[in-house]
Amino acid sequence: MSFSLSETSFDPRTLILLSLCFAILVISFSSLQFLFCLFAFSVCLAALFKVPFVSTMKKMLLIDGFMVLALLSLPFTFASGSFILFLGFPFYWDGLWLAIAILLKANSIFLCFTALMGRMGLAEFAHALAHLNVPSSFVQILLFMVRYIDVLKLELQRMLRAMKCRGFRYSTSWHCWKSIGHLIGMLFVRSIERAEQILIAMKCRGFTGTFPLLHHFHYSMKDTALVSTFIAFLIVFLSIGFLLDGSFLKGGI
Amino acid sequence: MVDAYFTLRSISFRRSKQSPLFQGLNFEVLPNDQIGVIGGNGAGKTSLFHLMMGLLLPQAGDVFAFGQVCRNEKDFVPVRSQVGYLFQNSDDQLFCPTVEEDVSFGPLNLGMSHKEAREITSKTLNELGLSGFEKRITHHLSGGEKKLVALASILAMNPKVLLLDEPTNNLDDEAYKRLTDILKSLNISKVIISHDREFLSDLTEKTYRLEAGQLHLE
Repeated sequence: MSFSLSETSFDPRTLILLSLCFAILVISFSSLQFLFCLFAFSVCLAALFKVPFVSTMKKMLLIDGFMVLALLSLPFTFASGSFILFLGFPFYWDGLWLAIAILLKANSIFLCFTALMGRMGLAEFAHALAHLNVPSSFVQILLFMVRYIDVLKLELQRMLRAMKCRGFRYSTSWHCWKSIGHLIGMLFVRSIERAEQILIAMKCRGFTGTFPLLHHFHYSMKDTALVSTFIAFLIVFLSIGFLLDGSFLKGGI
Repeated sequence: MVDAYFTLRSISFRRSKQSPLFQGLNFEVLPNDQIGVIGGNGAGKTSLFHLMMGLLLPQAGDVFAFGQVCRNEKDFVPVRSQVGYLFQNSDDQLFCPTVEEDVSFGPLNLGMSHKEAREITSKTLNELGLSGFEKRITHHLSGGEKKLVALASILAMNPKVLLLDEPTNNLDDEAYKRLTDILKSLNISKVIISHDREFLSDLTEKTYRLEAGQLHLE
């Protein structure tokens, strides 16, 4: 019988806690050689959990594209350490290393989260949070969001459709901006009203402020195996980081 | 021969991955036509209106509106300003804080000045017996009032055709009678979707049944 990590069901609580610990570990390192190793680790993790390549790359590019715009200015504004002149502007090496470190951190955490929690449904995630004793109001907000975000989307579409039927078109006029303002405002009003209706309906069925949780998760040997393998491999990758001479990455500058 | 307001010619339409809703559907609305449309739940009555307004586009067949063939969003923009579509749920239609703002939304979209829009708004509200409603909050109106304000908001655009989607749903007797009287007095072509036979026989001259993706004259 073949064993596949991507098809094994682990306790969602284990996956959430592992991801969280990894994220804390990653942000606590600042030297590039360790960050490279942690990034390599998360790439291996993603490969082991068979993360879909194309869609994950698209999401990563989206995040990176956003960050690169902000990070591009970093080497020019760091203003300490050695620099070269680039088109007449000072280009600080330390700023460049910091930008690379930020990119590595973000991508490592993103890959790890996708690998461990990518297959988890939002509802399952919320239930797991509840079992981890996250305050129940946060969990309830998350659960309601999962349930009602589509309802609100449909409401918005219906209103937009009715606006178009009365000749509405997007333009850069005061009338258009005002109308969009009304649309968003009314969406808020409707949401609040709907929320009140839902609360009433829930009270009618005996709701007193706590959600009965149907799912109960079971911590099993599989989870222990996952955690211990995770830690073991993390130590291996970090040891590689120790063995690497930090200066080689910076090309002896 | 008079030009038809709407001509739908052998329309086929299906939502993705569902069985076809319309197959070879034909429909015509002439000036002064008073048409009723009945049909079971999910027969596609509302979708028929959406096709006429260009909110849905057919996979095959042609929609002619006011003599022009309409194939995309751009073609339908001028059509919408000549057709008054009363939604099944008035809440979808009323999105501005006050009645006045909501009723003048359409006229402003037609390019009228604020003064003209304000005039036509109070005139329309007057005609529907809603004078004094200008500053009322749309959200706090009763169901019957919402329906009448929604009707006012489309009449303010001076449409040639009215498309009414189950206008009498959830109305009490008084609001029902008021709406019927107003609709009777309007000298505009109407297409009315309803389950209410009495209401239809009162207001329309012919009734189509929408069944199995086609319209059959009753």
